[in-house]
Amino acid sequence: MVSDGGGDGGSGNCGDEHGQRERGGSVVRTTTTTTSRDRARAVVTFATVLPHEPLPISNSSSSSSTSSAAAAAVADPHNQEQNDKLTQYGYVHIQGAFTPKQPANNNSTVTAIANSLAPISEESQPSDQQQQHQHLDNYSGRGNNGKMCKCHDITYIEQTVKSNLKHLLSFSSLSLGDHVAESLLAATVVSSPSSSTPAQSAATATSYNNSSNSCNISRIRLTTSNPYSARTIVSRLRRAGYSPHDLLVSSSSSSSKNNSSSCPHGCGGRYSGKALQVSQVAPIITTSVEEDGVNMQNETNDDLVVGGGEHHDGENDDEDNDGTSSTRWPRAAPPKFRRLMLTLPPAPTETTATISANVTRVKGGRTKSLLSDDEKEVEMESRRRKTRFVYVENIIDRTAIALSTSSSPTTTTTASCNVDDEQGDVVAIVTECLLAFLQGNESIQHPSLAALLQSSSSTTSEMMMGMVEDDIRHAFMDALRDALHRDLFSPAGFSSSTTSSESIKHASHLGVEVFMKPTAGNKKKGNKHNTDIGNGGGSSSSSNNTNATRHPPGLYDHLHIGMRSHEDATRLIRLWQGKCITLMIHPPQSLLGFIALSSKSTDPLPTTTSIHIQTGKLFLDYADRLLSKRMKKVVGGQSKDGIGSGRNNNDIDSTHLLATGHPYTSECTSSTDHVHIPGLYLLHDYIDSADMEQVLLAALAGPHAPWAPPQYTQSGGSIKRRVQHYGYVFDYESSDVLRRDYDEYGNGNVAGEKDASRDDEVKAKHSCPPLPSIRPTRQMVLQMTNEDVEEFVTDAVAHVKGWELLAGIIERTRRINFASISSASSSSRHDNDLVVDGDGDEDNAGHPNEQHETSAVASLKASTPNDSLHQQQFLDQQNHKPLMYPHINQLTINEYNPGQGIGSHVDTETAFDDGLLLITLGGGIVMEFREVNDDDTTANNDEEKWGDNDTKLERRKKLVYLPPRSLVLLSGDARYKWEHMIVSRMTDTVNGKVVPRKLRVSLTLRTALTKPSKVPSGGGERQQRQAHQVPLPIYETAVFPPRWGQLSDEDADAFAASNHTTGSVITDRTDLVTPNTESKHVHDVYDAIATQWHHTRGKRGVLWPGATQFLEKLPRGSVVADVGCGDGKYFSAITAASSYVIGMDISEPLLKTAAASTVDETLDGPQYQLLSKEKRALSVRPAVVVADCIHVPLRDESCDAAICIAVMHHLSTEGRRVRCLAELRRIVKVGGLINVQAWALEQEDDSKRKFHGTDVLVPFNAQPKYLDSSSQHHECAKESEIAEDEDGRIEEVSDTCKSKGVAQMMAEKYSGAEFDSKKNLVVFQRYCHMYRKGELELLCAKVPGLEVLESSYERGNHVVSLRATQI
Amino acid sequence: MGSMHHWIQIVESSEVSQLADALIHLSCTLTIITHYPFDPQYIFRTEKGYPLNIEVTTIRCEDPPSPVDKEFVLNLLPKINYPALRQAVQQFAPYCNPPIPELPEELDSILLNDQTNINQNNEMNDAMIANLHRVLFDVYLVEGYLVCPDTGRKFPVKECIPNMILHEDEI
Repeated sequence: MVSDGGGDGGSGNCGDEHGQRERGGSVVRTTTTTTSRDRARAVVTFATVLPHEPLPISNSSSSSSTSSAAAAAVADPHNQEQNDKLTQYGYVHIQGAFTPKQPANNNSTVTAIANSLAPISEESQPSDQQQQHQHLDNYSGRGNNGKMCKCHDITYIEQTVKSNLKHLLSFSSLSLGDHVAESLLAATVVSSPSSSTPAQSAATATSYNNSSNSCNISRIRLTTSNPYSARTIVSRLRRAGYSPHDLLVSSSSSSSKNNSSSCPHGCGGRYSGKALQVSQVAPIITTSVEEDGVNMQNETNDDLVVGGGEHHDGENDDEDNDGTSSTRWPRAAPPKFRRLMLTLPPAPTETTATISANVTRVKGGRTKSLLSDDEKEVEMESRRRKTRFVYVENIIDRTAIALSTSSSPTTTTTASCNVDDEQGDVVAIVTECLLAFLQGNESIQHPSLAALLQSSSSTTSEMMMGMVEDDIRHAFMDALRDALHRDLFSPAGFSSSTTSSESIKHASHLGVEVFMKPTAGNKKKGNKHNTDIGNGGGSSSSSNNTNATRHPPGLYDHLHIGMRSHEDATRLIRLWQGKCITLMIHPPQSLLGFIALSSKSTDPLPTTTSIHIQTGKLFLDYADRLLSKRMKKVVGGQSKDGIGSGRNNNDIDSTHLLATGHPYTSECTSSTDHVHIPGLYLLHDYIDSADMEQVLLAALAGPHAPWAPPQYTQSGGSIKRRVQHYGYVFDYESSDVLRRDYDEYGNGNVAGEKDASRDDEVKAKHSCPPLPSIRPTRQMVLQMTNEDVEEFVTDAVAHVKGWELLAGIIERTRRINFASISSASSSSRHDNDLVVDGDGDEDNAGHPNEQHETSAVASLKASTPNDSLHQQQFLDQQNHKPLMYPHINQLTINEYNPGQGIGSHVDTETAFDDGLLLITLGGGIVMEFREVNDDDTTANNDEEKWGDNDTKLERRKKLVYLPPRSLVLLSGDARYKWEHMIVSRMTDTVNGKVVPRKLRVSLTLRTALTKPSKVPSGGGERQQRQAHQVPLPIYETAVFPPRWGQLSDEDADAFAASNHTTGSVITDRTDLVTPNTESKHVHDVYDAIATQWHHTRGKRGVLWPGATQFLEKLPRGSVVADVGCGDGKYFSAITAASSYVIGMDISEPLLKTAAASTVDETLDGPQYQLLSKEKRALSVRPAVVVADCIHVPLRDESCDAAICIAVMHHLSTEGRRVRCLAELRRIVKVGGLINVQAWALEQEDDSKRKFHGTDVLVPFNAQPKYLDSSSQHHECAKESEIAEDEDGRIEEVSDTCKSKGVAQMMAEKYSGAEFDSKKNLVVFQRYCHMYRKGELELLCAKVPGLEVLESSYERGNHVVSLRATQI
Repeated sequence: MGSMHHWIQIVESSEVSQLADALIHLSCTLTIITHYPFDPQYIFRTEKGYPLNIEVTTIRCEDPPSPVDKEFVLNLLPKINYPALRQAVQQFAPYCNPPIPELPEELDSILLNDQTNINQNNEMNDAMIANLHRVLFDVYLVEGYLVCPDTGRKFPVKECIPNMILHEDEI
């Protein structure tokens, strides 16, 4: 990856050492991400991996003393490139066993550093520089590709490598201090014959014999007493522009210094140049830690394809041919390390780091890695699979001022000079550096450091600065790991006195990788840079490269922390979300040394040992690797780049749009103030605060937002903007919502047939994440009051939980009655507002923000489910229909870059119900509405259809500015009769002011419907068509983030573990407690009116045909449960069908009438006479039990059938309704039938009843005589009664009995009743929930094992026939 | 499965004239009725609270026996948990006057499986069916309690109607 602009490898090497005190081993990993070669884009990230658990240790090649080693094999890079263009990972690792860190504050250290500094500044560095120049000369002189180098003399190579290494190390000793001094002494080159395995040796031998030339330098061992130096050495090597190739090359070229640039064996400079440039030669850096005679080794092996003229990788060929060597040379190619193995060493005592370079060259071919170990690969792979990343944004508050530092001076040195100032310098420099990293500044401009640089030798300043930057970055990551360890894994607090064995124990629980990712801006630049190289390598200027060399690519906007499991990731988020954490950074010695060097004073070094840095409020989110992988699968062949290039595509698209947009011709929204659109509502500040917006954006539009794969429109184009659907996918090609398995809902088909025919493609198309939900089940959500929801939202904001917040916002939206808000706020007007409110109120021009917010939130907070009655009354007064969308089941997230828009369209009528809710985040935008002419109403169903409106002058137009954080509701006409669009342009004009657009993320909440019925399509009557459509079930999850597509086993386990199963009914305990609403407005009422109820209704014996037909179809001898039997109205029908009935009701008085009624009615009635003797005997024996319908006291599957008639509408929460259905299912055997009837919101035209809301109080006019218990047995048939029937007809019989006094008395006796003096009646209020069409089916869908056979509407009631199926 | 069901019939005590008619076939429901501790996790529950025990205060047996509907009994039989029925009969038999027939330990499998043959008159079977009908449909628990075998919770039976409502703190 020579062309890897983002990752000039030089910068990036991370060595790793985990905070030396507690960790047993750690690994640094360099990750190289490449997309397709054309883009030549690569991102290098750095990771530090801490071993989660020790891997099995294998004895790998090299040293005989090795007993524990971990090897990493590298797969064939070519295959990799083909198979997986998304990502390539490379790892460098250093493994170290660390001894507890001693505070580096003693004088000896200072002295050592000072000592080591002196010679370097005078000699080593210039010489190094010089050497490099020589290298450059060498390479520029190379010409042909055809020859390969021959190196026979291992000793020669060894020597050259060794000498070269010395340069490097002496160079880096500036920052390494005393460690390097040791390192230098200990550095040895182990040549291949002595160190390689037999296989390796054989290979070597072969290649020697072969004229194709091979060169094998296997190990350069560097022994150091401190892992810190091991890490730093690798870092230095790369920072200095060396890679393991370079080592090899350098060795050659250093020989050329002696031997006039020719290899003694004839390969000459040519060889060395080639060896360096061929990036395919994946270098192998093995850094192993040797201690106590135990050598831990990590090896990366790669197939090596090197050979003059035989390079097959075009990318590299391009590099070789086009690039000028002089520009390329200083940059080290990032190595293609691709596997990572970790070993946790036993208790460390002494640390040895070995750096080995191993380059095997075989002409024109590839050698399989010598040490590949399948088992380890498998294990490694499984580990990688498990890793979940947490993405951290805002690790340092962007405002930067929040970064407060405090230096903690350690033991005061005896030196007298201005320690304070020096410490101040250190703090300032570290702070500046970090800020520069974290804010993504490409060039680090910290005056202090710059000043230091100025004062020091200019030739080395860049390099030095780079090193200092590296070290500071390392220090930062160390600090972060410390913090992780402190907060996550040892809650008691990290103690520096932790012994090493303890720390190992800790470390074994650790599985943390820390990545830092480049900023978007930086990345972009990297892209561009790469593209330049790719297009014409020659054009890439040297300054460009210099730039890239000098500045590390890893300027970190955000950070990834990889955890080994979902649980760990969740825990991390829970612990750190929204918090500020304190990092204790140890300023690197290099910095201290640098300062000392630049000051050129004889003063002792500054003694600062740690700096405390307070981060900004962290934004954490899941960055799920599996998610990305799955995405890639979903994308399939459509896009070669998949998720990795999502942004990239977008960049191109937006660029394209920029060109075509019309930046200067935007209309002013205020010019259309006079136009009113009925049904359009705008709520300002629906997203309460900027914080809330930020939290949402971080999750929804952050770098890991799970955008959907590209979709195609009907016309064959593709959606330009980024889109994601939740709940249900909207298919732009068919302009319809994809309904998963619910397609046949309501069409009478038996579920399960069509699945077989579906192929994977369709499945993939249907695949989208579920809606986020605030509770595992819908029932639990529904039990929450609105206050609970608001509390949840507030909590989510406070803890920066993006997905939770989204769930809360959706739930909030489901609960708001927009009618009440609009009417409540209509009193407050604001002349300057831009939007016309709907509802035909001409003057209702809009609302200032605060009033809207308060009214929206206030009304939401005020209207708990129990208060819905009051709400209803309010609505009645206002003569409003409620505008509520409780079934919202689909969310679409669109990202509009400036310049992007959407075509004029009306959302597909058959796909979505009335009520589109748009929430704007990020930047405001002007939405344009155009009235649809009647004749093309039906033609404009298509989303993405660009309006061709200009010709129709008579069409009215309305511009509405949607400010950030606002919500727009399109209902009624605004939804069906007006098209809406967003013009593609860069600016909007709002009230005469030009407003540049910003990135806007819009959330569209809609209610997806079942398939339209085919029958009444004629005439295009929307209402008719939609009458047969019901909302699809809400498909949601409370596992965050919502995952894409089918669950893997692992994910399913996670689901199960977190108890978020969506299938089974989990009821909350509170479901079973009768709410006050029900006990007061249902139970008490029926207890009171039982007698009259029986006399006025039961006696008439009017049975609904649906129910009787249902009962007649039952086989003889069936056991039928009548749940909520009331006065036993259906007992006779059941017994007539030769079935045995068990009647249940919660009202004992009603049950008594039931027990009694079977006598009078059947004995007296003519029907009874027709029955046989046996039948008569049976018909008088109903079994009745006082019981609650949500706690039915019957055995599981003990009944053949169940009926539940006119009961469900008295249950006041959805949880209780579902619970009731679940009970019905439970008591019925598999295959048994259930008939449920409940009051319908939609009443027939001739009915006297009109329900204005779903939750209402229905009066029952009771006559006092029935209420008087003493008069219960009076003959009342001929007396007057005014009673309402469930059919809605008011019945008047004769009027002879007036007992005013009694009535009044009765009214006082019953708390819930009122006295109607005019009619001398006691009026009871019964609570009823009116079911919308499809609501019952929706409830049934939530109960496993219930299948809807048939649904119908009968005399003001919705009826569903259900069958119990196997669960 | 065994042979018979018991029906405890609960009779409204105040109006004797209606007793014969307002019957709660408790033994039938007993084989069905249960009480269990609430577990929010599952729809289906363990049957700890089954079968319920009977505490008799007032009981009434139909005299003379009501006419037997053979077919109905046979249809019903497979749905009856015979051991539970037998247990119930044993519990309330001492209070019955006139006495009710005893039930065999095992229900003749013919009754359950071979219903066509039964119709071809087997006297023994007919007697058995009559016995079953008797215990199932002719016995009424007027006052008393149903007692959960697991928790000891007593559900009162008044005027032939058991009240199975749980208190709020029991949920």
